[in-house]
Amino acid sequence: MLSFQHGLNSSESETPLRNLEKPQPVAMSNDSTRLGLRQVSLGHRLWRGRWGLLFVAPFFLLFAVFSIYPILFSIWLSFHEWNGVPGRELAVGFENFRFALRDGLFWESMTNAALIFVLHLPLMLFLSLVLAVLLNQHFLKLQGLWRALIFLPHLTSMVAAGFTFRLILEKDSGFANAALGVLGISPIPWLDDVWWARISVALLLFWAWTGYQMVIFLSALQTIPPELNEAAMMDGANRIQIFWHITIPLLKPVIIFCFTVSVIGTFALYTETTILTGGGPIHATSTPTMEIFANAFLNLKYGYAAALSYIYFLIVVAATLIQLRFTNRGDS
Amino acid sequence: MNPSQSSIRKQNPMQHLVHGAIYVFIIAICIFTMFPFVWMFLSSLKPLSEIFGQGILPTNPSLDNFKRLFLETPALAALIRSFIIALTFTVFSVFFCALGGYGFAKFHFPGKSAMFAVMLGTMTIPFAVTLVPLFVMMRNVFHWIDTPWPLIVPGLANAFGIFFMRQYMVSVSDEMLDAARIDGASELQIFLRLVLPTTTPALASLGIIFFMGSWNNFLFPTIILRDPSNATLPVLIASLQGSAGRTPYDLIMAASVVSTIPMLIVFVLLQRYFYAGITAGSVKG
Amino acid sequence: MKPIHKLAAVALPIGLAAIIGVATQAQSGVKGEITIWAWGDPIKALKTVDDSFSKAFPNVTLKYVQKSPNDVNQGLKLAISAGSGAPDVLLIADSDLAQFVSLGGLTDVTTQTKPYLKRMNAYKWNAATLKGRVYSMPWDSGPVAMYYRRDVFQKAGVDINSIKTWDDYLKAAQIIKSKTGAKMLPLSKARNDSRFFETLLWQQGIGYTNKDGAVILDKDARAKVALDLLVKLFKDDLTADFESWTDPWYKTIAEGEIATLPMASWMGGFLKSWIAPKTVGQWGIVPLPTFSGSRARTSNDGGSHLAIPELSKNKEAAWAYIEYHLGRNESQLTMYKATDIFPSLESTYKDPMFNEPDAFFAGQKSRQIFAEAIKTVPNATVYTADYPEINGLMTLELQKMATGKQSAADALKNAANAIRERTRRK
Repeated sequence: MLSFQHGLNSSESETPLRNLEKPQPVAMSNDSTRLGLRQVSLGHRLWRGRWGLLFVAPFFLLFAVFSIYPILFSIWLSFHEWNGVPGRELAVGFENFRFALRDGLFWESMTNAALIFVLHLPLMLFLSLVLAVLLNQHFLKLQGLWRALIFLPHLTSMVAAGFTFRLILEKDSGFANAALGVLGISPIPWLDDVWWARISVALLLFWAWTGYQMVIFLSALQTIPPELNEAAMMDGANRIQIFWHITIPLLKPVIIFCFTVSVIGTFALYTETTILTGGGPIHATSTPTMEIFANAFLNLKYGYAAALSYIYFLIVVAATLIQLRFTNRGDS
Repeated sequence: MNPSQSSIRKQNPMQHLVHGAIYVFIIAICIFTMFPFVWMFLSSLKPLSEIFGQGILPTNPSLDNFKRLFLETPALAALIRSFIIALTFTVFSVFFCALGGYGFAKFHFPGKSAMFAVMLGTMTIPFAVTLVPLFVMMRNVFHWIDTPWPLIVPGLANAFGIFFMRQYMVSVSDEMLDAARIDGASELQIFLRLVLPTTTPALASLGIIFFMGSWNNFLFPTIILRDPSNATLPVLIASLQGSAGRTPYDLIMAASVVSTIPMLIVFVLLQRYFYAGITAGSVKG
Repeated sequence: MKPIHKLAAVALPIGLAAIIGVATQAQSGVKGEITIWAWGDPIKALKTVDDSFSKAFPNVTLKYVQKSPNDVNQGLKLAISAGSGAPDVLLIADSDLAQFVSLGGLTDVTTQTKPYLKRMNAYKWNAATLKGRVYSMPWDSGPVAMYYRRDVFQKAGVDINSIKTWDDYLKAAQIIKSKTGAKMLPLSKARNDSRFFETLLWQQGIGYTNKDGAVILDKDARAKVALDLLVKLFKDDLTADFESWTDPWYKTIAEGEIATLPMASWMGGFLKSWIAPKTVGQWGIVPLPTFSGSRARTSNDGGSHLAIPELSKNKEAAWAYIEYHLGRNESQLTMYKATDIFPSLESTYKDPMFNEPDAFFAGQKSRQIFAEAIKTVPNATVYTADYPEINGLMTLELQKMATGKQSAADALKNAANAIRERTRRK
C-alpha cells in the first residue's frame, strides 16, 4: 500500500507526452474525502462515485473473470493432481510443492534463465547507454535513422527472428560460421553446445532488446538539462567522467527499470528458446515457462504445473525485491 | 599564435577522428541489428537447398517461396486472422483502458485505492501463472478453443493499459471538464467528445504497443489455436516445422518476411507513437 | 413385431460393437461423413484405397485433415478434456498410443478387432491394450534392418556380410573410417533423441520397464549392453554428430558421408522419395547385427495405429473405414507399394510383391528382408503410457553421457531414478 500511495503521488506530477501544468487536485482533496468518510453513508458514497465506478466497471468485470479468478484457480490447482480430464482431479495436499523442491529439471531451468540473464544484460545495459549518449550528441547527423535501425529488432516476431537466428547460427552451413571461417576461426557449435546455446539465446535477446533500452535511455537523457553537462565541462570534467559521474547517476531510476524488466522478461522466456534451441541441448536453455508448459501440456500434469508457476513467481518477486533493496541502499 | 588558436587547431583533427570513430561504431551496430532482417529477406528468395549454402545473395532470386506459401499453406487466412485479431483487440482494449484510466484519474469512489492496488499487484504476476487456468477456462467453461476470442477478450482487462492511461488522464484539465458539465454535457459525452480527443497521442501510443503485442503473440495462441486452419501467423510459422519431411525453411523464411513487413509499415508511419509508448512505461522508474 | 423392437432397443447400446461387425458386411447401413486426422505420407497412402472403399461404401464420405503427429497428439488431448472436437478416425503413432489408451479417449474395439488378433504382428497389440481391452487397430510396423552404402563399403574393402555382431560392426567402422573417412552412422551427441538406444533395447526384448511396470534400466544388464555400444561408437569417433531429422542430417546421409543406417522399414521410403532420391542403386539392406547371445537380428522402431475417438458420432462408418483400409490384404499392399508403410497384417507377406527386386537397393528384394525380419521382432514394450516423459528423461541423461559429463552406468542410474520419481514407478 505504501508503495502504491507513492506511485499515485509521483505519477501525478509526471506528464510524459504533454507538457501541461501540474494538474489540480481531483474533485476533492484528500482531506475532504476523509471528512466525507465520517459523514456520509456507504450508499450515498456509492451514488456519488457512480460515474467513476461505471467507468472502471467494464475493466473490473473482465479483470475479475480473466485475472483474479485464474490466479485463485491456479492456487487451487496447485494442491491437486489432474491430467486435464474433467472429474479426475485428485487432492494431494502439498505433494506438488514437495516434489517441485527436488525437481532437478525445474531448478535447472531457473539456473538457465539466470545464466542467460548474466550473459546478456550487463553488456546490453552498457551498450544501450553508450548508444543513447552518442545518439544524443548534437554533431551526429541522421539521428532518427540510427535510432530506428537499432530499435527495429524489437518489433520483430520472435518466431521469425528465432528461425532466422537458428539458420544463421547453424553449425555446418550457417552464415555465422562461414564468416568466422573467413577470419580463420574454426566453426562454433552455436546451438549444439551447452554454453554456446545459452550464448546464442543471449545473443538473440541482445539483438532484440538493445534498441528498446536505448530508446528509453535516450528519452530520459533528453530530460537532463544541457546546462548540467556544460557546467561540468567548465569544471574540467571530460566526457567519460561526465558519463560516469553525471549521466549514469541521473539515469539510475531508468536503469533500474530496464534491469527489472529484463529480470522478469528473461525468466519468462518462452518463444525465443522454443524456436531457437528447443530448450536444448541437454536442457541447457530450458526456461521456467517452458518447464511449466511441458508439464501442463505434454506430461498432462496440470496441478504440478500450477505449483511450479507459483514457486517461480515467488522467486522472481523475491529477486526483484532484493535487487530493488540493493540498488536503493546504494542511494543513501 | 595565441594559446586558444593552437588548441583549436589541435582539437579539430582530433575531434574529426573521434566523430569518425563514433560514426563507424554506430554503423557497425546498425549492421548487426539489420543483418538478420537482410538475411531473412534474401533467404526468402532462395530455394531450400540454397538457404543451407553459406552465401548471402541468392543466385536466382525468385518469389516462388511466397507463391507456395500462399498456395500450399493457409498463410493468407492466417495473415488476415492475425490482422483482425490484433486490430479488434487493440481497439477494444484501448477503449476499455481509456475508460478505466479516466475513472481512476478523475473520480472518487469507495474502494478506489484498494482496486488500484490489487490491479497494480497483479501486474507483477507472470503470464505462466495464469496460463494453465486460463487455458482450462477457455476449454471447459467458454469452449473457445480454436476461436479468436481467447486472444481478444481476456487481454481487454489490461492492468498496464489502465495504469498507462491513468497517467495521461490525470493531466486532463479539470476546468475543461467542469466547464463541459456546466454546459450540461453528460459524463459519457464528456468522455467521448472531450477526453478521448484530447488524449489521442496516448491512445495511439498504447494502441501501438497492444497491436505489436498481439501481432507477435505466440505462447497463448499456440495452446488456443490447435488447428492449422485457425492459426495466426506466428503459430502458422512455428507449425510449418512440425510437418513431416524436411523442415520447409524456404516457406518459413517467406512467412517470416510476411509477418515482419506489416510491423515495419506501422513503424514507419507511426514512429513517434512507438517511442512514446515504449518510453512511457519506464517513466515510473 | 413389438418384442423384436424392444429387443433391438436393449441390444443396440449393449451390443453396438457386435452390430458394427455385422454392418461391415451389410454395407448399406453404413453412411455419413467421417473425418480423419493423419499426417503427410500416411494420408497419401490411405487415399490410394479410397476409390475402392467408396465403391464398397458409397454412402460414406471422407474428409481428411492433415496434421503433424504432434498436432494430432495435442488435438486429441484437447478434445478428450474438452468433450468435443474429435475426428472419427485418427492416426496415432505407437509411441503416443498407450498414453491415449490410458487417458480413456478411445473407443473400445475389442470385439471388432478379435478377427485380427492373430493376423497382426503380436507385439503391435501391446500399446493398444489396457486391462484386456483393445482400443485401436494396428496399421504398420517398424521392423529394423541395417541400410548400408554399397559404394562406401566397396571403397573400404569391407564385406557387409562379415558383420554379424555389433562387435563386427565396430571393427568394420574403424576400417571404414580409416580407409574412407566416412562415419559408421549418424548419431547426435548433445541432441541425441534416444531412438537408437531404444532400438537396441527392443532388439534384446526389453523396454524401459518390465511387465509389472518397474523400471529396469539400472537393473537389467541388457540396458547397459545397449548403452555401452553407444559409448564405444562415441569414444572412437565413429559417429557423425548431426541431430536426426534436420537438414545437415539428410545431407550427410545423401552424400555418402555415413556408411550405415540401422533404422526401420519406413526409412527406405524416405530415402527414395526425399532424403536421398539421387542415390539409386547405392544402398543395400542387411539384417541388424546381434549382441552376442541375442538371436534377433532385428528390432522395431515406430509404427502406427488407427483408432476411433470415444467422441466420434459415426463409429460404425469409422470402423468400416479402418477395417477396409487395414484389415484387407489388397488395401494394405496398395498402401505399402505407394509409400513403404510396412503392413502389420501378416497375411500380406505372402504376396508376390515381396519378391520384387528394388532398383533403389540395387535389385535387392528389400521387402523380403523386412518380411523375414518382422517374424523375429521381440515382443517388447518400449511405448508405455508415459513414454513421452520417459523418453525425455532418458534422452537428457544420454546426452550428458554422450558429451562426456557422466559414465554409461551413471546415465542409466540417473535416468532410472528420475523416471521412478516422476512417473511413480518402482
